[in-house]
Amino acid sequence: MMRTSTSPGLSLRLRRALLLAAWALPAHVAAQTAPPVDAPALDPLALQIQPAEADARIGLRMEAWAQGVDLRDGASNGDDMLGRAVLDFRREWRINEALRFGFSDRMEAVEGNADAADRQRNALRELYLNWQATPSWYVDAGRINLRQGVALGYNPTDWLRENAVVMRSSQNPAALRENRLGAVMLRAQAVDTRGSAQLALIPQLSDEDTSGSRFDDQFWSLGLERTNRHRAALFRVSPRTGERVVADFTAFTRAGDAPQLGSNLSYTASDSLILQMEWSGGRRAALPAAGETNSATDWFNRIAIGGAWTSPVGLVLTLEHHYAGDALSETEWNAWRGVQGSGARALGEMRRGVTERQDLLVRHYWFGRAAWDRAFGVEQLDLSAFVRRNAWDHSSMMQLEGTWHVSDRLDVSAMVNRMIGNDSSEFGSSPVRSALAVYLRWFM
Amino acid sequence: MSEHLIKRALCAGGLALLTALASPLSLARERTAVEILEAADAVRNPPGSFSVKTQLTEYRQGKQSANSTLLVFAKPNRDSGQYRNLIRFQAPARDAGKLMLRNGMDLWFYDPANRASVRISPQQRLLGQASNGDVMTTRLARDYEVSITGRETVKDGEGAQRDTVRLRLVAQREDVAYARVDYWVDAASDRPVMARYYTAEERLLKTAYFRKYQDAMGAQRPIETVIIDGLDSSWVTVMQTTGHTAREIPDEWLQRDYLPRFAAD
Repeated sequence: MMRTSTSPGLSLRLRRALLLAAWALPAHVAAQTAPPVDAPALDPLALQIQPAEADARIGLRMEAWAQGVDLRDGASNGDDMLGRAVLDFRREWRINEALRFGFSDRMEAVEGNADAADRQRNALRELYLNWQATPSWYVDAGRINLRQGVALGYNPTDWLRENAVVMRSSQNPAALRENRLGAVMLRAQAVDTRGSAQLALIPQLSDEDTSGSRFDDQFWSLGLERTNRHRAALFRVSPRTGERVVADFTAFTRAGDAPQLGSNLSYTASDSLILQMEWSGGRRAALPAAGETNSATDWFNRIAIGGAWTSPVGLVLTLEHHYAGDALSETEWNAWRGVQGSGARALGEMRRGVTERQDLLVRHYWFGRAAWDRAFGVEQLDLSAFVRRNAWDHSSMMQLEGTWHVSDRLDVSAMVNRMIGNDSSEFGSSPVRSALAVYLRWFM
Repeated sequence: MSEHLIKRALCAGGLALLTALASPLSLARERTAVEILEAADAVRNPPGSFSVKTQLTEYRQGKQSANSTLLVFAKPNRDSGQYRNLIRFQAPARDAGKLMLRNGMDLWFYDPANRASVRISPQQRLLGQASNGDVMTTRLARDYEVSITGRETVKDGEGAQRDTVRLRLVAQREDVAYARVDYWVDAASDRPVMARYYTAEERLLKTAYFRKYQDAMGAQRPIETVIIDGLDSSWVTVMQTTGHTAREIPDEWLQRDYLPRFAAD
């Protein structure tokens, strides 16, 4: 249940903004609603193509959010109403036949009805040069978002996801991938009829102390301590296979850590069912048990396995199981749930690190997602929902989202988040129990 | 003797004349359903690799409900003969830059926003009423078993009466958009006139009219298709293809790992 605001001033502004949006949208929809063409005796063959608008896109997206949050008892500091404004730019330019330049940036400002919630951050996501050296060889240099993995809710082979997210306006894994920082790298890739292979070299560009997941989140910070804190190398080969089976193999090494291996496999089982598996393995330190600060290093596997089924009406259902051998066992997690005092602070720090790395806290999770574009046959309506469930304490995080395409350039969306579980569970102990957001997006 | 010879010569000549007269008719009768379907495919699809701009305007109750523009790159597969397709979304603005790649059962959707290539199933739709198969270049003769069910005079997409051959198509692959198709092909020109698409349970999904034949890459081809929903005849999509251009499409373009690099116009 939504709480009422404790700061009448901002709350009033937000309410005014919502009222304005509520007034403006129907007006906008009405403006778009031309009288039907000969509705009583419609002849389908009399309908003609309508001229498309010219492709004058500049690559800018503007977002305006109003959010209300329901906080756990004792967690309230008055910031239960938030306003959020976003400028999101992404574009690539061709310099000549062989050279391209890319730039991607997200500027985000959050204002709450308590100063503690106020935050402004610019995220320089990508800035790179791409050179086509030969018809099948490419070299890229700069900051690049190199994303890997076929799974939807957890990507153990997406090595560069760690610490790359600077602002979390949505918990949707797709939104986290979209908004994260790229890593500065030099990358060579060969793509030909046999498949592709690529090698990325990532230099160390920061020596900031990031222990305890402390990062420089000043407005103009480049966040290099998030993405380029250690030297690393990534190799990936993706041989061309048949129509049904697709596989790739990857290796990653980072200074100070043992090399990691990984693979992605997907299989088209039928015209409506895709099965997928993502695996990584290597020696690494497990999460510590309660009362310990370190744990033994061993070989651990991480797996995301599942499938996506498309229903006859277009609803796409995805179910995945996530596993990380280095995460907490049920016994270890139950021990952590009972800690107090300094142990609770250690738990909080460990959980923050897990969240920043986009790792798993316990060994087993279930993840389900339903997505229905043009839901119920309504062209303007997209619906989606996902749930992530901790298999040990049965707590869950869920998010529902609906988007209405008001016009070719304007969307209005509503999003609801809900944490379910008792106070000592992973998701039930979250400071935010639920949140409601309404936001507008303009595409330019 | 000479009379006998004359009679034999007359008989032989008459037989030859009858054979000569009958040959075109017998050849016409011998034209198989597959040949007619292949000829209709050749009318819809230019030869070799090409690109084409496809625009879709969707109507509900006569009111425009959506408008999108795609750039379709098509290249025949050397092994199967079927087309491989790469589609770039140009409009609306929220979808601009997104890509869809299809090689038979292997389909990928690429979103430049998160640089993610997501594998999708052949049944997954990205285009509203028009199926992926409607906008992609396909050779029906490669995917369907076909038979002739008769000759019919039907009204075409521009209101003219056409003498057509009616074909019955039954899918031979599970990744095609429609389990069964009734297909009317102009008896004189092999031009596709209309089609009805059905589910495996014989439920009518859509009716399509192929119209506005114009010169495109060396032949008269339909540049518009009107797609009418099988249940709701007021749900209509008009699909227009323009700018047919023969072009070399490297095999490198037609694989998942090339999608982030694709920049052709």
